[in-house]
Order: sequence, then structure tokens, then C-alpha cells
Amino acid sequence: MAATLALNGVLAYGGGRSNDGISSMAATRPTPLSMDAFLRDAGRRAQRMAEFAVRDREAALDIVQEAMISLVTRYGDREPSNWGPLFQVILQSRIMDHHRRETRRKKWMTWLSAPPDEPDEDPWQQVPEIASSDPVELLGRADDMDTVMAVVEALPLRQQQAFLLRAWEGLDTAQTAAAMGCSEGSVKTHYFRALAVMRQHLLNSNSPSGEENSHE
Amino acid sequence: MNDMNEMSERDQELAGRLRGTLERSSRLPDPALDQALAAARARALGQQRHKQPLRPWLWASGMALAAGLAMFVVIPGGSGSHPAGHVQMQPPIPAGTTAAAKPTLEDPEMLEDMDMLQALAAEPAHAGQG
Repeated sequence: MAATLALNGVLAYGGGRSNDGISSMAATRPTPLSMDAFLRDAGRRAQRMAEFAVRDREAALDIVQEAMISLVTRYGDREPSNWGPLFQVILQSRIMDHHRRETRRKKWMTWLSAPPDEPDEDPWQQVPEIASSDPVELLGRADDMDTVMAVVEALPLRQQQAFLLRAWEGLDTAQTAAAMGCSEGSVKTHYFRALAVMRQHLLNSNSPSGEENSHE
Repeated sequence: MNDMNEMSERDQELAGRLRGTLERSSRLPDPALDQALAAARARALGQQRHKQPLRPWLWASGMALAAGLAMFVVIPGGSGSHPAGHVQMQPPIPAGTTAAAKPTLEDPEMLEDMDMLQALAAEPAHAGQG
């Protein structure tokens, strides 16, 4: 019920633009009345998104704080309806910066050790055919918080970004592309693959709170 | 493309459910996180409050500086009583500071010295003849 109510927020910074077959499902977010209200509303989601991406709560908080400061100082005088997309552009940029820093640091740290695993290995190639898909069971698992957290966290970064920005944040394809710094076609591909991988992981999870450890 | 359309229709409900679950998770009570986010928010909004009063100050001081410079450039003497096109004369330089260092042909002392030197030069020649 709470989820249904949350989905009922309309008139978003997405603006209801529908330029692909899946736009209509992305519920939009209301235009904020003040910067304080916007940061209060977006803060928790931003923190969760950053934590999914960097897997470190403190680093995620730092990223969110930097993004908030940057939004306020650089774009505080813009139209409130633009704050959401702008905030996401800044946030995703900070997340990518963090990843680049971490990648560089890990390269130096593991200079002489075995070559690292490919981080952006395409799990789409490894998704097996779905033997049996019970829609009711699938949706039941999609309601389970722990399972969903694990499944989202297991997604590769770009798919995770595309899914969270489109489905959760309610941005349209163009805004998501701007936030991710890629083309709209790439956004659609990442989003499509993210949903397919998540569906598969949800179907493979044994119980609603079952452990799903395909992450590493 | 057909796959994608088919997929989008099939997954529409799934995405909605996932969104609802994520929304619920983000609303779970977490006092420590709420406190940290409130601090981050306050810091960000503090930057905004610091930024706004700074702008008029910068503008005002910049304009005052520009006006002051313009005053000096347009009115060199600082008094506005001269007519347009009038070039103000420089005050005379005191003679004691420059004339002593720069002797001219009109300098009587120098002329006397030159006469005396000419006389001294002519004397031995007259003496030899005598």
C-alpha cells in the first residue's frame, strides 16, 4: 500500500515525456517547493544510489554531500523542476570519479598480483534461459526488500545507474543519458539488460529473503 | 527491437514493484543516516547563505573601485574648475635642485672660469716671446 502511494507521485522533473516504449512506467516526482525540501526528499535516495554504486556508506555520504553542495552553489538559482536532473548529473559524475580513483588505486595496490576480474563483464551473456517464470512468484520476490537490495547491488554499474535513474528516480531517457554521459540508445540497452538480469536473479532466488550472491 | 518492446511490456509491472520496494527501503527509519544527511543538507544550504550576501558586497566594492579610478583618470588635478581642453601647468621646479647640476652657457661662473683658463694658456706664449 505504501509502495502504491509512493508510486502515485505525478508531475515530475521527468515531465511525462515518453520517447520509448518503457517511459510510461517511470513514475515522476513532484516539483520541489524549496531547495531544503528537495534535498530532504532526494537525500535518502541519493545516498542509497551512491551506496549501491560504491558499496561503502561513508564514501557514499561524502559523495552525496559534495553533490548537494555543488547543486546549491552552482545551480541553486535554476528552476526547481531542473534540480532533480541536475542533481543526478552531479551525483553520477561524482560516483564515476570515485570509481576511477578506486580503479587507479587498486591497479597500484595489485601491481604484482593476479590480474583483476573484469568489472564490467556483461552478465547478459551468462543469463540462462528461464525455465519457468511464474509472474506471481516473481512479483512476490520483487516485494522483498533484502532480495531486491541484493539484486540491484549485483548489477554492473552502468545497468544499475540506468535502472535506478529511469525506474526509481523517474528521469526520462534523455535525462538519464545526460546524467550517465552516454547516448539514449545506450541507456535503453543498459535498462533493458538490467531488467532482464534482475528478473533472472529474482527467479533464481530460492525464497523471498534468500541469499543471492552472484554479485562478485 | 521486437524483443525490447516485448520485454518492456512484460517488465513494466516488475519495474513498478521494484521501484516500490526501493522506495520503502529508503523510508526505513535510520536515525544515524538521517542525522548525517541533515548535516550534509545544512552544510550545503549554509554555502548558499554564505554565497548570497557576498555578491552585493563584491559588486559594491568593485563599482566603488572603478568609480575611484575613473575620477583620477578623468580629473587629474582633482579639482573640477578648469575649462574643457585646458592643460594644467606643472609647478616650477626649484632652481637649486636642477640648475646646479646642469650648467648652461649663460652661467657667469663658468664663463669666468673659461676666461681664466684661456688667459693662463696664453701667458707662457707671451712670456717666451718676451
